[in-house]
Amino acid sequence: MNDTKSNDQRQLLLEGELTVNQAAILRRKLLDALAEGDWLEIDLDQVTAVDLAGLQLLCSAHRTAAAEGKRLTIKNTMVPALQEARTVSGFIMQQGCRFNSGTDCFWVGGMEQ
Amino acid sequence: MEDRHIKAFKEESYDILGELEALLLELEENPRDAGLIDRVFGTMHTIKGSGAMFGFDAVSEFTHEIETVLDMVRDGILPVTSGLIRLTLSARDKILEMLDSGTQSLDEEALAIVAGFRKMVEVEEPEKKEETTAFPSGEPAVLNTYRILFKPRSDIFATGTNPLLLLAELRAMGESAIVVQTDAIPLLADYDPEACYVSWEIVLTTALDENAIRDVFIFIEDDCELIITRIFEHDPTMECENYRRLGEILLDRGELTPEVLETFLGRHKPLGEQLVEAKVVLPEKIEAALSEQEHVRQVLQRDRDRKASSLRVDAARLDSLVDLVGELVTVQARLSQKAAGGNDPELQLIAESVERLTEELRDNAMSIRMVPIGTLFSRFRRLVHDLAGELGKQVQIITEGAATELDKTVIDQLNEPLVHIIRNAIDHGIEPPSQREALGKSTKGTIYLAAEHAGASVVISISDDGAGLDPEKLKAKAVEKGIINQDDDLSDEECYALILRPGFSTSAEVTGVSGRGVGMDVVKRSIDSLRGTIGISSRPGQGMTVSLRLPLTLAIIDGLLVSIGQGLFVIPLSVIDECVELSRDEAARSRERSMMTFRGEALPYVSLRAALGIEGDPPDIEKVVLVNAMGKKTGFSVDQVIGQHQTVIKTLSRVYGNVEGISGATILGDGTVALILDVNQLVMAERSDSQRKSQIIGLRRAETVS
Repeated sequence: MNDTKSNDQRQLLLEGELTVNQAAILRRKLLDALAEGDWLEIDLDQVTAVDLAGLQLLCSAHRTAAAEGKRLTIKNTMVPALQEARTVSGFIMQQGCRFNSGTDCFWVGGMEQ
Repeated sequence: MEDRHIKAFKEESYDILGELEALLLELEENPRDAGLIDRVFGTMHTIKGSGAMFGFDAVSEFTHEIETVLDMVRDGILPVTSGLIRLTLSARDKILEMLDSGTQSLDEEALAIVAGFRKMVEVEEPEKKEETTAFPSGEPAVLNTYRILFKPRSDIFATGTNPLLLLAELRAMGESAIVVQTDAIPLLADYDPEACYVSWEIVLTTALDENAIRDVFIFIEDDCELIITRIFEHDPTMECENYRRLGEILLDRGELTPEVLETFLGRHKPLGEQLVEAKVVLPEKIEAALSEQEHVRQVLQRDRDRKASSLRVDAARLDSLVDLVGELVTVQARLSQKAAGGNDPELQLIAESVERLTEELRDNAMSIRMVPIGTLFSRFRRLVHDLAGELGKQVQIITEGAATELDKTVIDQLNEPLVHIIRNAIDHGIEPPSQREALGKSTKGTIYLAAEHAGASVVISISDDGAGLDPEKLKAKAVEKGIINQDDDLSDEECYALILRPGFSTSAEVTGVSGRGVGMDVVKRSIDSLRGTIGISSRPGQGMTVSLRLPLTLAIIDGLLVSIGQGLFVIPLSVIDECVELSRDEAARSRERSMMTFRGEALPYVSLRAALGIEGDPPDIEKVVLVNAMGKKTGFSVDQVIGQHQTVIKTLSRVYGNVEGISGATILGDGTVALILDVNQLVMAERSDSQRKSQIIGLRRAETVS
């Protein structure tokens, strides 16, 4: 119900916690949203807390999209909860991973200096 | 060797403590500034770490206690209170004292401060957390850089352990670079929401040992994979080297075999990119290796910066360098004189080159001695803070022009006079808060400290917004003290200047703050000895300003060499506007009226021959040097203008020290002595002289009228 469509891009607005407690629900949501189109954009604007599990999930979703030849992007990456989680858990990279190259990886750049 | 390091450590610590003081005072004004709290914490941490490293265990132990409290402040558990600031300031003083004495134990005062800090913690947090990152006191620590692989078991979330907290603990142990390894994260389809898939590659530079690092993971020892390797021992005395290249790091980490590496070397593309493309090494592993390289590079760079960008040199060595340059300037002048007198063009060319080089060398040597006045200003923040507290007044200090540079000797000698002026301003100038409120002023008084360049001098002004000076009161006091006569007619400015006279003190009772038996006359004497001048201005009820005009340097000036009769004199070039000639008639007229006309303007005229009491007649054509002194143009007549001269100032001996109009001497190339004229004093003497004359003329007129 938080989802809106614009052209071929699907939007998924995530709210509240991106944490281990919500991980099962989030995983389902992401899987469903990815299945619905070729381009999913996750909007993190309403996210209040992110933990390690949350970061892992975003990574996993990104890989899943790449494996299926789809696009996954994040909107509003500057929400404090995400930035904080990235900093403490070392999710700050230059290289990307073997699924997504440096230019696509969520964790390359995008940090406030 | 050892001593030198300890000395360097001490000097560095003094700097850090100075910074700490400034930070604390700033923090008092902005108690919620998290950046400031971080910096305060950082300085304490540095002192603690390096204190232990250089065997100042007591300092390290003491600082540790403070750090514990500051850590809680940083975490927002404790608020920044004026009590905390005060206690931390006294702790800072104590650390300074402990560094000086080199004590190995905490004395009563130190223990009292520690108790004070502990109390603060207890009030806020009844059950004190167990210290997890205790600093091993006793043995001197060396910084080591470790490579840590931390791979929690996938069911770590279920145990309730948050691996991120462990990372945070590692971060608190020193400088770190933490890179997550995400390769094991599966696709969503295979994703177990309860599982932890990541591990970390960490590079940590710390003074703690490997056991301390293991201790962080002690509760999940069985639930994680932990590999700790020491990769780098950091030795502050060691010459810096460049850290390993990416390939070497990867080999070292076991990500590559030498044979594989061999096949990738020598190509144009960066090694990392090649390895990833060929899928030989995971990008995350390259990431970790690169971050290790960067981390170590930064640690080394910091060391190098500390060594290369600034060098601590004994001030005495600098002084002797300047002395030598001074001698060289003298000899160079002699060479130039000799060359100019002879008929050898080649020698003249050489002499010119030597002159140019000497000039550059002189400027260079002088600039080394230049220190920003901010170092001095920052000390006064504390003074103002303490004094205001002592006197129950509210005072803030605003500084401007802290970057203004002055010769170190001048700065060193300025401290005391400035302290005195500021004390006076707070004690006598700024009113108590209640009185200020009644007067409609802000309850908080302001001391305004400013420095700026003005030609070859620096003007430092100290203003307050206090009561100001009352000329009538000053005069009455001076009469009572027998400094002036009842019927002396003084302008307001002359009244203000009375406070600079010996034996004058305006405070009715002697206070512990400014009335310590020394008055402003001491200030005047110090400033005089620096070849400076003092000006005082005041607006009753609105405050006063003391401005000090000081020369940039005490050692060498550019001067104009002139002669009068047989005597040679130097006039500082910085005050000279131009030179003109006067015919005998013009000169005679000028002498009579003490005035000369120049481009239609009437200017005061001083015959130096008369002023300095030199006998003999002036030549037919007299040269007049127009100087700009005390804010006004004045003409000084001399016999001959010889030329520009680099003047190495030699102070006159005590016997001649207070001869009016002469500020020093210099030795010329041929060994003759020339006296350096104090233009300001000469102009002042001339003014009071002409005032007296005009008074006399006025009196005569009055007599003839009656």
